[in-house]
Amino acid sequence: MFSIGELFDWLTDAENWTGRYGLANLFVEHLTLTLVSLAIAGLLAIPIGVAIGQSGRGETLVIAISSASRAIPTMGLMFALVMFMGVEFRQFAVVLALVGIAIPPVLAGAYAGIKSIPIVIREGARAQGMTTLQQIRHVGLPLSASSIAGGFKIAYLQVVSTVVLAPLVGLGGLGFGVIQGLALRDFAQLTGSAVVIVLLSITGERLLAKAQGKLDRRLTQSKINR
Amino acid sequence: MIEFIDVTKTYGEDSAVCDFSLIAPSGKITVLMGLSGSGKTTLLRAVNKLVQPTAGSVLIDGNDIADLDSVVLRRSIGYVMQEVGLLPHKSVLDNVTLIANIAGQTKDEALNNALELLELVGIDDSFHNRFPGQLSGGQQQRVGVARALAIKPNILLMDEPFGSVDPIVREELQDELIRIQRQLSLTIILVTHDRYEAIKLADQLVVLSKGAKIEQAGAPKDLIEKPANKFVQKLLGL
Amino acid sequence: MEWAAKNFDFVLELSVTHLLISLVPLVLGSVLAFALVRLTPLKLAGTIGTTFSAIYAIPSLAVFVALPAVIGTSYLGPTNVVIALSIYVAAAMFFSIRDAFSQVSKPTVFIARAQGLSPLQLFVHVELPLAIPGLIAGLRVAAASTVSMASIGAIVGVRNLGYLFLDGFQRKIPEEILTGLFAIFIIGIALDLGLWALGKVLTPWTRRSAQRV
Repeated sequence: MFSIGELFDWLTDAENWTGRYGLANLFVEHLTLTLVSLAIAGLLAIPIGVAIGQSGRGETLVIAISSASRAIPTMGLMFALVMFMGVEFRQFAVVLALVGIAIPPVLAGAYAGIKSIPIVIREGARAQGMTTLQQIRHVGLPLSASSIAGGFKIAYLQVVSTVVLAPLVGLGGLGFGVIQGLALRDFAQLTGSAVVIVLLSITGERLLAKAQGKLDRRLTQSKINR
Repeated sequence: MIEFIDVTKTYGEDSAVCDFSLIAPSGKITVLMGLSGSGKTTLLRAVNKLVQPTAGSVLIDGNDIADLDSVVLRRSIGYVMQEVGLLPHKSVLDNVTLIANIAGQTKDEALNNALELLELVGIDDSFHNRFPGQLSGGQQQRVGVARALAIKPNILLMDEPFGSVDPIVREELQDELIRIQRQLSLTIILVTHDRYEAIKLADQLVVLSKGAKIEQAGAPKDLIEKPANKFVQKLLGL
Repeated sequence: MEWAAKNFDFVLELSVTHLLISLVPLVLGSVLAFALVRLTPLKLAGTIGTTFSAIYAIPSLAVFVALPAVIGTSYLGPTNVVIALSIYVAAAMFFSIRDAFSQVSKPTVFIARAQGLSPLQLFVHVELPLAIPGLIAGLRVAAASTVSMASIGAIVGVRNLGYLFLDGFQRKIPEEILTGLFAIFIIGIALDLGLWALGKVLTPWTRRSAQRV
């Protein structure tokens, strides 16, 4: 069918990297859609997750959301939203779907992070006279940072892989080369695009895992110093 | 009779046990007493090959256990420990019969034996079909003892067996252990750091310091009357 | 509802395919993961773990289209998708199986060994039953994501419920997309409940009535 050589040629051909549907532009689109959605999801889900963890109210909600979200296919969610909001608003609809996909893991991460803080530490902060906001700022957030990073890692993977499907509803992103490659039976384009997608997802996952590990280490170090 | 001959066990640089020799006579309770790190648990585990000595040998009735298959050997020796370790997914009765069945007793034999043993350790019939999670700590350890006896062993190894039960229950269990030991004339090696337990249970009391060095061994009465040194004195609270 | 009722047989046919294309990888992947956990030497376990977490990070569509280049399967059709999903399941189950077994209470295993259970007996009577809660929890997560991910297989020519998304979008039939969403949701929930019930049946000692009062 095609060889590693063809794949290499395709990936190193400057023509495939430039222009509206060049890899560079598609890459930027892919990353932008992902980061924007993650940022919105973070702004919504972290405060809610922290609040639920701190107050202990609404815990069943977190559990219900995270288990129900696993059973909903991300592909169908995106298609349905674009369909109902209208193709002219597809950009907005896709971001909405991606935010919806990213919220459950970030919410679960924030909630679990707060919950995993030992009761004595939380009680200690309260006993010292910290207000709820101070408790969250000085105790809750720093101690749950690694768990929140873990939530973002899962969210990132799900969002990046859903953006791959965005060309099916008329948007760009790296999935474009896969979808077009399948339609035109252009296996070099197909595999070349897949390679770039793989690099993007694995690099992001590694970076977030590293951040998570670093936050974890900072935590254990601060414990030893005390 | 269990005989330790120059048993040494080293972990890397550290020697947990150094040149340990002792005879645990048949039908008696030998108590190994020492602080943590004295190597007493290592010695106990050397008897059923859970630990392989670096040097020296352990003989049971004159046979070197190094020549015996470890699985076969373990099925002839009862083992009881502080954490009990009952199988949480099996009923009390099944916990006692399982190993007997595996060791080759017939179903009826294992069942009758288990019923007898559970009665011996004072577990009421109404508990037989419960799961271990439904029992108190003391009851769990009673079942633990019955389980260890299910294979009809002559030897029973006990590692801090009553360490995590309430003081009152502990006394009760100690009394019953003495009764059971006399009734079945078991050879028991028991490890503890509790001096009251050691003095109460021991026919032969062995006080160990670091590296399983024997500071003194003998009848508890003799140790109390003539402690060999300060260490023994201190450990026995004299 | 009109669309769903009119096309009931078609939806049913797609559902059966969808279920099969999810179940087969669940079984294959779990068996593969189990073999890897139990049979690989400790030295290699780290490498396998890193490889699996990297594979898990790759978007499914990319795996569906990259696999033919790597192992020479056809670009379109179920074989490719089943293999890819099996690898995903194996990647997820590798970690859950490893954790499920490492969470088995150490004293329980120790005393069973002290009593002379052979390694095989130890596995059958002690380790496996006690690992069941962890194994079931892992399977539930893997099942949910496999059912959802399988729909993407429609893009590479597998006629399952994901087809309703593509077809419904192209022909502008919102009901068709909703039917797909609903059917996949139901299959996911049904599998989840099935596994949950299986776990309860297999672990009677964890029931509340079996706890100390």
